[in-house]
Amino acid sequence: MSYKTQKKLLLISFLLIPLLLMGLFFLFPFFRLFYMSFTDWDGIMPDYNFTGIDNYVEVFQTPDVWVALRNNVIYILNGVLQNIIALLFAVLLTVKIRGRNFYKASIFLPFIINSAAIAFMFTFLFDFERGPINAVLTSLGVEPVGFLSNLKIVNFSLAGISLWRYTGYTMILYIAAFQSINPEVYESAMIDGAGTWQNFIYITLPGIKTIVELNLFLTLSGGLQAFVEPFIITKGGPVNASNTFVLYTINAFTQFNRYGFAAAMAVVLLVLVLILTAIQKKLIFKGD
Amino acid sequence: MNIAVNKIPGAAKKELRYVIADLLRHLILLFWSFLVLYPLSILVFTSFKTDEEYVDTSVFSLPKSFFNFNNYIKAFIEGDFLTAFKNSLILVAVGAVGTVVIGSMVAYCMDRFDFKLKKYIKLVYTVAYIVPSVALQVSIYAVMKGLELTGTIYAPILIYLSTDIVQLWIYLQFMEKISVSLDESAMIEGASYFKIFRSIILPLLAPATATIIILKSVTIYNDMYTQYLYMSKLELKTATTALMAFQGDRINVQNLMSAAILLVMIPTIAIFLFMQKYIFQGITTGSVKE
Repeated sequence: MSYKTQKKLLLISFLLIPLLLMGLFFLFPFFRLFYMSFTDWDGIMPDYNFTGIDNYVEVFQTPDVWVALRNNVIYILNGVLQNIIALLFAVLLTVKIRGRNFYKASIFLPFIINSAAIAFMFTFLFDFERGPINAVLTSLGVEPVGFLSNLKIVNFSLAGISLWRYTGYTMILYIAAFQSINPEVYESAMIDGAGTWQNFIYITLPGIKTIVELNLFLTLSGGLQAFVEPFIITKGGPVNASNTFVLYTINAFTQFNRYGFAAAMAVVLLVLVLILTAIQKKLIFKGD
Repeated sequence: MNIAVNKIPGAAKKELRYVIADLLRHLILLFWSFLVLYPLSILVFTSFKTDEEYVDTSVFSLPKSFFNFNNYIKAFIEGDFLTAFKNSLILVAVGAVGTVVIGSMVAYCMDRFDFKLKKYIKLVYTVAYIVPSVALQVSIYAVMKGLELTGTIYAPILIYLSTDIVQLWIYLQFMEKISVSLDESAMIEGASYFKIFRSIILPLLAPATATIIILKSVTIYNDMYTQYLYMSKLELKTATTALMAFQGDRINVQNLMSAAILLVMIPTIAIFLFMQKYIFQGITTGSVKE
């Protein structure tokens, strides 16, 4: 068999199934999402009506959606905080330090733990009556806090869990970024008489730019997509106070069979992620 | 070192500054490590307490005995964790092996050959990375319904195999480092492309494969959303969904609940303790690829 025929055969046999999967479970649903968003399909009946932009209008006119979106802002700001803390830890761990592997492993540990298990652990930690955190507060003479029941606090408690979970992950990426900078660059800069601060501005920052960008994309769009903690712990409550955009979307199609509306929510989410990414590129990286 | 300190005036002062800076670094890092490890320790303590002990003692106190496995046994039986772990294992095994097969095949085609579809495939994979997968579940769920796959173990497996692209990036990174001259000399000896893939490329990709298997296993085991959507039925429960069902009205029996939580936590923590290197490697190579 000539290599030309072989190539054809190989490409077909190696790519057929992966591309079929990609088409069926990514591309098709991707376009289908837009199509569904203009209908009132309930997910059960085979027939449905085209409703134009009604679903989109409803998305923007539902007060609860805005409450959910406002809660997402807390998760997004939390993502910024996560990057700052992770960057600090990465700096501390890049310089030689005793116990480096211990710190790295223990800070990263939450990332690989089952998300439902973590959520239930925090349900216990945050418990009003018997929770350890309130036990500490009470012993310090502070009133116990309703971490999960106080409408003003619940979102911060839940966002705090995601800070606990993901800081180590972000840190590992920053550490890898620091290590990818060639140490010889610093040495030659030192010969040229560059100081620590100059080194940081002219060598370190440009060197980790790609990772900063990636981390910001991951944490900011992650904040926009946050739902695991409220989904498991509060179900969006009390009285809708901890709902998030994705949680609202999930409930729309799993609880209320409103596939058309949920699809419109999903499209809006997609657009929001793109906008956030574009702003991030424009503002912080002056668009390259 | 000491000699230098004695010779240079002001060096001792400088030395002190370093000691303080070092101490501060340790304090910051210790603080966060404590934030991670202490809650987990409280969970462990609580899981070994009897009902009376749980009510009578402080949450911070050690259990009377670390050999009281009653809560674990009770949770394991009442939560039907045998079925749950079996289902999770099936998902993990099929998902990880399938990912390796698909990822390595696609990476081989993308790295070694030029063909018409190539740039479109690249585009689709890039778009798939940006599009939030949670958003897409609305229409994927509709597709699964159409295929009558909701409520079966096939739905999550198909999703795990088709929509994750990190493994492809890891394979591509490794593939680039394998010299094409190896392929060429094998071709001179008349080896087929398939033979080259199987006997040269795949063995050289072994470190990437190990990384992908471990990372994918952890990801699948920990996934909540897909399993909740498709595997909440009683006989299809996974470790994650079984824990969610187990909580129900046991929220106030925290010692029993702690044991159940730890049962679900232990597998990935164990993998992490023994295979840290692969997980760190997978995360960095899987993400850094542009």
